[in-house]
Amino acid sequence: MILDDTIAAIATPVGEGGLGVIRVSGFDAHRIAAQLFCRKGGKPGDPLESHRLYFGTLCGSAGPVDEVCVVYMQSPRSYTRQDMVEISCHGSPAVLRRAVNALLNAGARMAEPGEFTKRAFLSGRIDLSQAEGVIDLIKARSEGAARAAFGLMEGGLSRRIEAVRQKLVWTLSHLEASIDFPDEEFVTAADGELRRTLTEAARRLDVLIKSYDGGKFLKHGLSLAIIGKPNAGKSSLLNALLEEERAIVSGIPGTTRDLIRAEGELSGLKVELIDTAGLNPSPDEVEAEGIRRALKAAETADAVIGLFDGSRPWEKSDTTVLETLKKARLHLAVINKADMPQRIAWPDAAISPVHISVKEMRGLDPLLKKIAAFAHDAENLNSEEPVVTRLRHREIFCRIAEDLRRAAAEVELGRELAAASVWDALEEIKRFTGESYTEEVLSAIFDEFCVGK
Amino acid sequence: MKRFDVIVAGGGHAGCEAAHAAARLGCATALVVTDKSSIARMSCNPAIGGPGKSQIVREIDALGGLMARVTDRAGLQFRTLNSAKGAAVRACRAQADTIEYEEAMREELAATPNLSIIEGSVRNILAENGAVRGVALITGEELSAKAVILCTGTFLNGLLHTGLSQTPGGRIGEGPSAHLSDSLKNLGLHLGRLKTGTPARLHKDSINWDVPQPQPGDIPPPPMSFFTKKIEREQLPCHLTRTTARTHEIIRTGFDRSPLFTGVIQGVGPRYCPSIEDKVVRFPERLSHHIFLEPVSRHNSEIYPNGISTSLPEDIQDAFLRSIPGLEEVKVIRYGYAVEYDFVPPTQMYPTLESKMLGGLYCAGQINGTSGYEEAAGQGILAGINAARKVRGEEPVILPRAQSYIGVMVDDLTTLGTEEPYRMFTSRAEHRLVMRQDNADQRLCDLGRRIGLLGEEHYQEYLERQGRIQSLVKRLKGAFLNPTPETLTLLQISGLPPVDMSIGIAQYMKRPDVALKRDSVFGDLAAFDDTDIERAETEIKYEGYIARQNRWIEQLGKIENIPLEEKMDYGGISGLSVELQQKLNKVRPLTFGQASRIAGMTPAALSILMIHLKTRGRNGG
Repeated sequence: MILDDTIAAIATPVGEGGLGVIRVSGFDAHRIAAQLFCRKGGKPGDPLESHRLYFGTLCGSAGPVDEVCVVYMQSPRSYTRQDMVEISCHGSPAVLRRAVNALLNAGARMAEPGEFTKRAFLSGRIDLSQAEGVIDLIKARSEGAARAAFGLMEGGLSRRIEAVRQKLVWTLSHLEASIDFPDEEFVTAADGELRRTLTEAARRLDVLIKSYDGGKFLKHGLSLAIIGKPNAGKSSLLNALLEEERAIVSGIPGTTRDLIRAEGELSGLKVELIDTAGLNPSPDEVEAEGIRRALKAAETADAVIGLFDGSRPWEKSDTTVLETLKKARLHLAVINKADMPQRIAWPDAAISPVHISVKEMRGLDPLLKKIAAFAHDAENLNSEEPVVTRLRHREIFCRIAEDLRRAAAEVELGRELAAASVWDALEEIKRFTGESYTEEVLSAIFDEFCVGK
Repeated sequence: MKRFDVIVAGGGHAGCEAAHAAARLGCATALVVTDKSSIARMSCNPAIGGPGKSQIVREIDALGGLMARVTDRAGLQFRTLNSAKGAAVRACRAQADTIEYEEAMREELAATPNLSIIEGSVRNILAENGAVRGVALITGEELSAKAVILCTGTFLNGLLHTGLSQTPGGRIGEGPSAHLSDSLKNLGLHLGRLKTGTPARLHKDSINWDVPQPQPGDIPPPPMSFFTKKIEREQLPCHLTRTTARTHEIIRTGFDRSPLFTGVIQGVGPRYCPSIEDKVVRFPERLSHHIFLEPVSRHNSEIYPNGISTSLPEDIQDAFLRSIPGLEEVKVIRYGYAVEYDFVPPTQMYPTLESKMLGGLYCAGQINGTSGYEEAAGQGILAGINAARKVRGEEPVILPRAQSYIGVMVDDLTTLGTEEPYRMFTSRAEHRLVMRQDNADQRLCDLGRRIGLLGEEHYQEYLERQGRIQSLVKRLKGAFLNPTPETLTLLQISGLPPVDMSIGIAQYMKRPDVALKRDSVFGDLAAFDDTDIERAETEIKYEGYIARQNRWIEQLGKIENIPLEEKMDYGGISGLSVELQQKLNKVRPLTFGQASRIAGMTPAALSILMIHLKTRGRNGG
């Protein structure tokens, strides 16, 4: 593989569509594209002006392929920083295939998976974490995931880490100066200040590390089990949240006997909702199996909603629900049937339940917000705070935080030891940005791409 | 025509080590100096060592070189700097008696077999078919050799400045080497220009010694060499005084006649060793700078005032010196001056210090853009070893960054080059915790012995020490402390913290408040000297860190040592920027690791390079 040879690939998904886009990047991109393209009123081979949209006909050796729009982006003002051409055809798989073949015949090579973004990284236009953001953005399946990925791609997380790096460089300069110039009289920062700076930097990383739990849900989605006693309205709630009649609802307690799984997007978060059998205190054989599955689902789901019937007094089965609920790290207590006279006496001051009425569709918005907050602090959801969505980043940040806490402890033990730990942390930062990487890490990352992106 | 194997031009600190090494390795060697009496002269401060530098001196010692031994013979004060910090950054620093230092070095050289000292001045490098064949002296006489090592210090087109008056010269009272620069240019070498400076020398008897604060040496004095048993001679103190607001005022009145500020000096000076006028300009908020008054020799009356190097006019120097407490009536023996000189930007050298342009031509010391006696000597020994090995048809020696400070320095110089006089700092060494001054023997004695420079007797001494240290470490690692009443009492008596449960001694020693002491809970240490004990303690205390760095070195090693062809043409590699192609063609890195350290090298460029190597491999080159 040579890095500026000319590559081409279809950039849009396979299938019928109004438009299909082909990307070309590399040394010969302009020549190859211009040679195949005949603009209205022009002739094939006419040079294209950079960053200008042309309309015309794309011709292969066997004649015209399609009417297309073509834009040429001259290096370095392009995605890859190389010369690039984007060709918008009609979105038929056959048309796109013919168009690509025409480009390949004219001297381009089929791009490898992720090769365009890899070139953007290797040309230094984006750092490694931003390249990862591109992958995530392409793969984003919900608004929240898209927002987090955009932040990563646009460099939000990189800037946060850059701020940490600058603090570390400052600290290191003081540590090193006191080691290399023991006879000079300049005053380096006192141990206390260095320790504080290091601890503060470690704390910034903690915030990022913590955001991973939510970030993970943003990226991969969240599974949410709804449990409660029979007839509390679990299936109704599921249908209401998904805005479709997914589960069968009846007034007969015990209608839901097995788990019902349904996917949807709630407040920008991809969520898998799991409706479960009611926790009947005296079940029959089938119900007993349903309850066993319900409890198992509550145990394995990322989050649990405990649903209570506000129109009835507290019962023993409600206690079971509450206990099960509290075992889940992410949980929400919800009291349904707010449209009826309330007879429930809430027993646990540590948990404040949300009141809703599924029947009247009341209180659902606050509930959705709380669900979204599982993935993200509610205040942060729309803010610029970066979210860590990738395990690779989380692991690097954990190692940096560990290096920095060790360094803080070492400042008084021996500045050369603290310096060694700060150097380690800086190396980890280089791994994050891709300034230092092994081919292995790179291919692991770029292997996630599919062709043309 | 006289015939030699190796000719060394210049008898400073680089030249002495180079000539000694080449001769000891069996090459008929000529050391060409303008004046035999100026061999090993300390042109500036009368001190050897300090952070980053003492490590180099110890490395020279471990390889079988001279600087440490000679320093121990001639030292008049010895101190350990950073003694409150960890072993990795502790550094010996010795004030040397400059007259005794020169004498001791002359004796060492006189006792070196195969070495002739010739008075003369090199005018031309003689070359034939891309290889050196000797030198021509100013007198016209020619000397033939298979290798030539240039250690010209500040003499290449040297120009001395005091105020606006200029004198051609390499050092006060000594003329420049005026023709050699042209000869180098004619050979195709590119030259640059640097500047350095030195303060006035003061008369001892004109100083009021009641005023400055004395700075005594350590007791007992820590020797520089691994092979010095003990330093017996009485030590002299240094003294500390400082500039005043009045000093700075006077200095400012001389700016209109400063060669530095009027643009007369073109060469780039060292940022870390600025002249006093530079300090006054760059740090206007500082009302005072300290000055160490250092004795130059037991045999003369000179005092070296460290911290106030200057090229201001003589009348200003007189006036500002007299505004310094204790120097009110000072008599100047020699005024301070700046010196500008040509250097050969060192990216033109391989990491063996042989020039890429001309086979058999080596450069070492200030000619490569460094500053400092230790840096010069470190390059000198390496150039001497490699010149001798080339003559003998042996593989060159390249010192890895992970093994020595000399390796770090030479890699920095030959890969990155330098824009200002290069000085060693411990922070330049990424493997600082494993490259300490105390374990330089462990790092380099084997190599020194293998190439034949380190004598058998010293090598045996090293092996014995190594054996003692390892046995002590092993013993300590196998022992435990139990909180018995006897142990607790003993701990209390030795001023050590108590233990509340059974603990391994090695584990206990890793606590910051625990030191390995004699007559305590650590068993009988009578068989070990203080150095052994310190070394064992360091090995145990640093164990975790050393393991961490070693893992890192190992990881790096995988790409570090991938060889690159010397003759590879980087011009044709598509995807590499023209700038990087040119840099690579200039540096001609020998390994992938060296390439990765070239300034401006990006991960992308490395990746392209790696791909290029792989495809070349696949296509059969």
